[in-house]
Amino acid sequence: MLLKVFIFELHLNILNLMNSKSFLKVSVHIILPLIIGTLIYAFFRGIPLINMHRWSDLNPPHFIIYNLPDALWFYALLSSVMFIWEYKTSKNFIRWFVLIVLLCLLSELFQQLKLIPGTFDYKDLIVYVIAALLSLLQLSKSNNNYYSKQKITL
Amino acid sequence: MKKSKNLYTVLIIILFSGLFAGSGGVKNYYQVYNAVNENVNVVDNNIVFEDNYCKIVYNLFADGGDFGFTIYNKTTRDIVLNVDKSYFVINGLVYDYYQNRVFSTTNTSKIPVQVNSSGTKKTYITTTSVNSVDTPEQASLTIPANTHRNINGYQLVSRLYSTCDLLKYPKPSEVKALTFTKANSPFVFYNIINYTVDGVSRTVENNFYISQITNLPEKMMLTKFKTTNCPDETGPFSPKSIDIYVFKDASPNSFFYKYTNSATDPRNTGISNKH
Repeated sequence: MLLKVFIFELHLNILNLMNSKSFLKVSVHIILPLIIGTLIYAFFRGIPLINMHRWSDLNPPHFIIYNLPDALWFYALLSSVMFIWEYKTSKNFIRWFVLIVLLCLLSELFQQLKLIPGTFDYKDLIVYVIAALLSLLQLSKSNNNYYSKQKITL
Repeated sequence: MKKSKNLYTVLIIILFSGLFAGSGGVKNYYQVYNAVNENVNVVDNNIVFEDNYCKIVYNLFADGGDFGFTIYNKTTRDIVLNVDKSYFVINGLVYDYYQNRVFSTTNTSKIPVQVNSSGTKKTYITTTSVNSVDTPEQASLTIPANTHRNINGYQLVSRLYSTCDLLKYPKPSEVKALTFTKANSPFVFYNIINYTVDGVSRTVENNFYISQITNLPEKMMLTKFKTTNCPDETGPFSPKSIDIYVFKDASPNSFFYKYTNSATDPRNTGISNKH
C-alpha cells in the first residue's frame, strides 16, 4: 500500500515537473552535469562493456579526467536534494545537505586512512567544497527569486 | 509529504553513491612477459645454465625484469669472471657490464662537543664528520672454489609494450595473451659471460626471447591472504591478522611491468614495439 502511494506520488511529481518551469532547472543543474560528468568518465577513463575511451585520442589534463566528473556528479546530487526539498531552507533540508557534504568529505579522508578502498586525492576535497558552494549559490538565487516574486504579488 | 521527501532524498543518495563507488580510483595493471630459453633447467624456482666449471642462475621476476645473475664456481680452483669481456645484448644492442665506474660510500656521524661548562649548565654543539670511501669497479672478479657471486644486471623493459592487438586496460574477461616465436619476438636478449679457469678463457651465452605478453588487471595478478600475528605482537591496537598481497603466478622465467590507468602516470605512456 505504502509503495503504491509512493509510486503514485512519484508519478505526480514527474508530471508536475514536466509541466513546470522547474524542468529547465532540473535540466541545467541535475541532468546536464550528470551527462557531462558521465561522458568525460566514459571517454577518458572507460566504462565496462562500452569502452568508449578507445575512441578518444585526446589527452586532457588530469583534473578534467579525474576530478571534474566527481565535482559535476556531486553538484548534481546536491541540486537533486535541493529540488526534492523545493529550494526551501527547512531544518530537514539543512540536515540532509550537511550530512551529504560531510559523508563525501569523510569518504575521501577515509581513503587516505586506508579505511575504505580508493585513492585519496586532495583535489577531490577541493572540488567537493566548490560544488557545495556553487549549489548553495544556486539555492540563494532561487530563494531570492522566490522572495522577489512574493513582493511583486504583494 | 515530508516522509516521502525523506524517502526521495535517501533514494537519490543511494543512486549517486553507486555512481561514486563505480567511478573508483586509479587502477593498477600489469604487463606480464614470459621468457623462453631452449636449453634451460628450472631448479628450485631458478633458471639454471650449467657447464663443467660453473653454474649461472637467473630469476627474471621483478618489475621491469631483472637480468642479473649469480655465478657459482663448481670447481676446486679459482674462476675469474672477466666483467670487461661480459656483455648484455637486447635486440642486437650491446651494453657493457664493465663501465669503469667508481662506487662511493659515505658515512656521516655527528659528534657532540662541549663548548661551555660554566656552573651547572653544559652547552654542546655537534660537528659533523663525513667519511667517504671510493671503490673503483673491477674489470675482473675472482670467484674462489665452491663459492658464488651476485652480478647486478640490466632491467629488461623500461616502457610499456603497446600494440593494437593488446588491450591496455582489459577487464578479466577481455584478457588475451600475445604469443611470439623467436623469429617475431619483440625482445631477444642474452648475456655473454666470459670467465677464465685454469688459465683458459671461456665464453658462455645465455639466450632468451619473449614468448608471451599479457596485460592483466591487478586482481588477476595478485592474490590476498591473511596472516595472523604472533601472540606477543597482539596488543589492544594491533590487528589480529594482516592482509598480504602476493603474486599469483610468479615464475623465474617471467617478469612484469606495472602501470596504472592514470593519465599522469609516466609508465603507461611509453609505446615500444622494439626495445
